[in-house]
Amino acid sequence: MTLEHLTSKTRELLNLSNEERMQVIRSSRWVGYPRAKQLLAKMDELYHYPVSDRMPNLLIIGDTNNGKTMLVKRFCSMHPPEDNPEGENVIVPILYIDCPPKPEEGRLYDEILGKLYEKFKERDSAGKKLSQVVKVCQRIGVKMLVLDEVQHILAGSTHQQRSFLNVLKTLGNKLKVPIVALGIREAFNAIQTDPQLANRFELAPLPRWRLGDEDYERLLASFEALLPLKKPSYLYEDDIAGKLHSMTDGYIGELAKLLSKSAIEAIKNGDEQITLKLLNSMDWVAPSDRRAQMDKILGI
Amino acid sequence: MFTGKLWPVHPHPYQDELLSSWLVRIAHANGEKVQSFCHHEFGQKHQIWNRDIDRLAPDWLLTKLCEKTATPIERVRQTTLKRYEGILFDHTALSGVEKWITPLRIYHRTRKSHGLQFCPECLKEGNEPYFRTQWRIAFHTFCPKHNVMMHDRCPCCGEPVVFQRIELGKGNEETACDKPLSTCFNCGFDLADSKPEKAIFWNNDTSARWGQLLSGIQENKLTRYQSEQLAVLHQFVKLLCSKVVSEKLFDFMESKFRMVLERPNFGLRHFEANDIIRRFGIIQCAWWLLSEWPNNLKGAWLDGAVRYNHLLKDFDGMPDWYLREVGNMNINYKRREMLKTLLMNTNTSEKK
Ligand SMILES: [Zn+2]
Ligand SMILES: [Zn+2]
Repeated sequence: MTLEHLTSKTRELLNLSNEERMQVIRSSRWVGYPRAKQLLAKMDELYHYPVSDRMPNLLIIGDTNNGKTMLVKRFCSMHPPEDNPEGENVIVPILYIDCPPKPEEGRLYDEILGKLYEKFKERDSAGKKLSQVVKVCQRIGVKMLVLDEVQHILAGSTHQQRSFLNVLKTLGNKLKVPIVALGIREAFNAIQTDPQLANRFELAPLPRWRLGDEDYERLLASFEALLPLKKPSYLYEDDIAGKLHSMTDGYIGELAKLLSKSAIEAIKNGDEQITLKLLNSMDWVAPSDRRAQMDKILGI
Repeated sequence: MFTGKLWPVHPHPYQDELLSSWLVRIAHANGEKVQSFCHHEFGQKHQIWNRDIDRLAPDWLLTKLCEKTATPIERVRQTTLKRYEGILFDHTALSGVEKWITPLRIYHRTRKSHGLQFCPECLKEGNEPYFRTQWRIAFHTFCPKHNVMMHDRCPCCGEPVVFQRIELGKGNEETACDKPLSTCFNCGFDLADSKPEKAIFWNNDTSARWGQLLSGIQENKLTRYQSEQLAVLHQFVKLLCSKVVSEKLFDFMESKFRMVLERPNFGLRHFEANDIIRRFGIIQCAWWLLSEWPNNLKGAWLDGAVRYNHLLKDFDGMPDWYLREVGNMNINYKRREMLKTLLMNTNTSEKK
């Protein structure tokens, strides 16, 4: 039996029982691929950016479920927070928050304070909240602010969107930390109309995977190397790669979910490999078909 | 490890820091006014600032502080005045005035008495000003470290120290939590800039013994004899503040020292409630009565300035050496006068 399709670490996992292997697969995993590595390097550069009054910011653009969040969470996990019980404050190198449901300054601070405190005074003025945010973030050593789900700002007018991005810029300057924002393309249209903003927010697209792209094939190979199956599946070969792409619409989050489901099946049925046959038998609906399916269920 | 259970900013108490001082620092370090911080963290039902929390801190508060700041519970307990239980007083009373502890008398969260003392020099030390537990000891009228008088009010406006009200003062809402704890809540004066005044003692011996007692109290290392001294001193300050006894004692000492002494404020029932200048004077008188034992006390007694039954009144656990001498004073007026004449004659003959 050749095990060249696996990394040496994964090979060791083959000694585990079936149940244990399935457990390993269920727990989420990380796949490094070139574009992701570039973005990680970019974030690392920002993370170590010298403190100044004009901090640079990064906007990571990509479709829903294409792996933006996973990628950024991966970066966050390299700089984990710490209780620091002996010291005078917790240490939170990266503060990760979701964008408020509406692009309002006060609500942005609410998100930050809500992350740090069980309760706080929501009725305080935005100015008071800002000074608390700045004071506490500096004390706890925040070096980067990550803002996910920035498409929420689309709930506001173009004017509100732009002023919200300006608030972000100001907050970054006050905290003297870079801000990494994640969202879909539309969330950042407001920036284009404002050269001042465009200057301070670098755009970094994280495109969907395209069939026939070598990166995509490399990605599939890296996934395969991490799944503890005894036989090689050759996921990067044209027919199976195409099948996976059509089932997931090129979203990495979907791909990861589908592959782990099928790998568990492959252990259960004893095949120990992911085949076209297996994929065809999976109870799976492609993201683009899900809406249609939902409409059908609802009888619309 | 990150549990998310600690307050984001969780300073630990400084050396000898008072609970209230620590709590206000925690709130301010978290960018909040202490009232709203306590409100969020402890719930609206748990009012804490309507009592003397340094004396009567509820247990749930101590536990919470222990959990939220990762400070050992023993250390947390050291920030309350209960730490002096068994040293200055026997057991914590739920109401009334505690022996040797300055009262705050809190009405509707406003302090009416000047119970919290401070040393301007100590306030200048360390990273930031904070208030010490020993500054609530009525016996602590001077700072043994800097040998200056303690203060018990703002030198500018005369208001007591109430640092939890600093943030309520005028000024920018956004900077309310950034003022140092040494700011006068009423006029904004920095108490650390109060003029340090040298403590002047009637004699050097008193100052040395007084200082030793203070450090013994602080380190909980009082010898048995020192504890007994402290008990007797308290009996004396009580007599000196009692309207019935005080008049004659003060008259006697004034004629003895040929100086005018500041009388206690009889409107206040307790020695502990007197202001710092009066307490400083009263304690010096008490030290004098204890000095050259038992001669000074005997002199006062012979003069009729203090009586046998007063010296024993409400004095639980008096030391043997005290009882022995005071026991000899249980004689009638006539015999005492005879004794006085006799002693005066001996003294005069000695001088010849
Ligand atoms: Zn001092
Ligand atoms: Zn004042």
